[in-house]
Amino acid sequence: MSVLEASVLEADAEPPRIALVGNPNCGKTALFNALTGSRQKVANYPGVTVERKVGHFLSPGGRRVQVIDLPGTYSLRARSPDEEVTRDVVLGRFAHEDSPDVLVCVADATNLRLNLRLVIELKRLGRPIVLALNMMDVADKRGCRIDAAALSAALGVPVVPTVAVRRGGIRGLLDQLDRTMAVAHADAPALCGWSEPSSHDLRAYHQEVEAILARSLRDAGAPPLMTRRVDALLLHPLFGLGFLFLVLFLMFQAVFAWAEAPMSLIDGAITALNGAVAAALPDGALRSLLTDGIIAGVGSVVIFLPQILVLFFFIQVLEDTGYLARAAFLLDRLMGGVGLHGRAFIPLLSSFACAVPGIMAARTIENRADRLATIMIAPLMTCSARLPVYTLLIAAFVPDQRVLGGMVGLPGLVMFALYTIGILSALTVAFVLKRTVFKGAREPLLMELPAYRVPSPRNVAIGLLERARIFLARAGTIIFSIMVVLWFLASFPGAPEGATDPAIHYSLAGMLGHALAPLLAPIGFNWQIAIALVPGIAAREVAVAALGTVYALSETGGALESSLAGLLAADWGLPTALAMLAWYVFAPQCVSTLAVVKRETNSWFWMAAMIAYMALLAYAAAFVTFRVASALLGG
Amino acid sequence: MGHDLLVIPIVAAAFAWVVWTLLLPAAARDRLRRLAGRPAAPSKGCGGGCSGCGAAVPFRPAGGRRWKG
Repeated sequence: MSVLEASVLEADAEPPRIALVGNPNCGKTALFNALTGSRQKVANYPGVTVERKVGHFLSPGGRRVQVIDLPGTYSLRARSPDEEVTRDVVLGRFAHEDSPDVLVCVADATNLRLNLRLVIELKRLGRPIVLALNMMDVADKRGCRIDAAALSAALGVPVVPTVAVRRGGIRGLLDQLDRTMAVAHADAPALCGWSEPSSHDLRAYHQEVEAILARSLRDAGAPPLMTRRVDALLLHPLFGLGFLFLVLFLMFQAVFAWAEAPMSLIDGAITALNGAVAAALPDGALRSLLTDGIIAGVGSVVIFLPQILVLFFFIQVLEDTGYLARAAFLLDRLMGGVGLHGRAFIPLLSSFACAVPGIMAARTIENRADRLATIMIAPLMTCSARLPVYTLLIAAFVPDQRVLGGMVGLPGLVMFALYTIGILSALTVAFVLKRTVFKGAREPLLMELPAYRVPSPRNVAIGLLERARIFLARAGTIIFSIMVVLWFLASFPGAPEGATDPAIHYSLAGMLGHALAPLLAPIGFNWQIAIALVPGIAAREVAVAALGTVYALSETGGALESSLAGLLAADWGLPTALAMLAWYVFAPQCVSTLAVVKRETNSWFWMAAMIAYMALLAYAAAFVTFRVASALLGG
Repeated sequence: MGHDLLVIPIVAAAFAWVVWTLLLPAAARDRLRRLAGRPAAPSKGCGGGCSGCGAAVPFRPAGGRRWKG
């Protein structure tokens, strides 16, 4: 064979595949990021990764290697959908996929007893294994001394100490992987004969772990005293809950207070840009598209970037410290009261960012009825896409004044109330669902609480950059395109001769708005809102952009120079604004959420059921709010 | 007037993007891709336009990170 043929064969050959397997929260994704240069989400609580992620790297030996990051599991005896993913990848049960050539077992060095049990179980498969002994820095700090060579001898697999979050030990791991992969293909047996370990097997694994630890653990170290002391306070049934609500309350105050200055800057920049474009172009379709369509629409959403970043700064810091897992523990009693599984907390918490990862995180819940109940209520948690809608209406209708002795800002208080309404609504719906559709005994929460850690500034910065990128990418793609389309629909055909109203009244979008208006009139919505709600189905914040465009095209003269909040304050009554807020607490959106519900439940029925119940709740809530507010305030 | 003609390609492109990305079902998109001789797009994992879940977005090139020998 010529050198050329050999190199072509080499290029065509499938790259060796390694899989990262380990207990939840042992640092698999941090290792995946370090190996591949990816930026997958890492956090200090179990259950962050719920599906396999694939990346590549070129090893020091010149091999192109495929690496698979898997959800954490304590055993191949899978009990939840995320654990099934791990089991099926390891055993090569996915269609068109063999089992990985090498298993990299990632073990938390501070909790070796629990982690080694999975290593023993995986060893039974007979696949080549490398053990990455992770979090060695934390183990060292606790005085825990592990003899890696003795551990390797006792286990019969190579052991490499690592600190994945700081890329420590990665070079050693890569060299070891090169050595292991060189012999991996030759002696890897098939895994078709695997059967679930029995409880007798598990006891045997446990005894084996004890024997291995006796030979390799020189000093078990002291338990994390600080974590225990802090937990004594923060997990207190009363003080702990009070602290949790204080943290959330401060978070929403900060969302308004800290974001005010950068929002004013962005607002000024957008206004200046709009003025410059309007001055540079002659009156006509292009100027209208740029100013009324794109800048007014996209700009009215981009302005909320600082608030989104402040919110995610808090969430990221709380995740990294390990406090969020404690919040799950604290709220277990409350969640149990409505019949939800304690594990539902993490999916519901993730839904504050976006319902899509929240619904996917429900895979960690073993019981199908509990999982479905969690999926059905996840979109009621206030996702970040609602933030622009809430903020716009609060800015327009809630006076910026201090209350409670000047200590608390009213806008922040209203925002906190809206988030609370979302949570209470979710719990109420869960209560009803668990007593009607998803009946069944509640299973207890069993969750490993991570040690407290100082948040990594790099991790927080990367998380915020990623969040900003996602937000701006949406503004530059989905929102931009929809605004261009909406501008066209709201501008053509133009006003007939002798018309007195702005052209939008006679446009295609205007006709649609006027057609929908009678349906929405009982809840106080006008035809402009009706227009904005249609593209808002794609994503909630699109409704804000759509309102920006619709009002830019609807207004004339001096009103055009006012901000969108000012225009709304002048055009809507307070009952309409309150009804709109009530609508957005429940509205069945967005398209991505509905698609992921269909995928995760593997059923059109649950998606349709979600649309139906949320639409009904949204209309009812908006109706009651509008009628009551009109009766009390006059409207 | 000449400026205003620019509006036509911008609106057409936006229409095409919205139809392709948001309105067309994934199965129809894949079918059209195959008809055009292109492989079906890999699943994003999040069902559509949302990337709020932080779906796999490697910031390294497709070949992945290179470790020097």
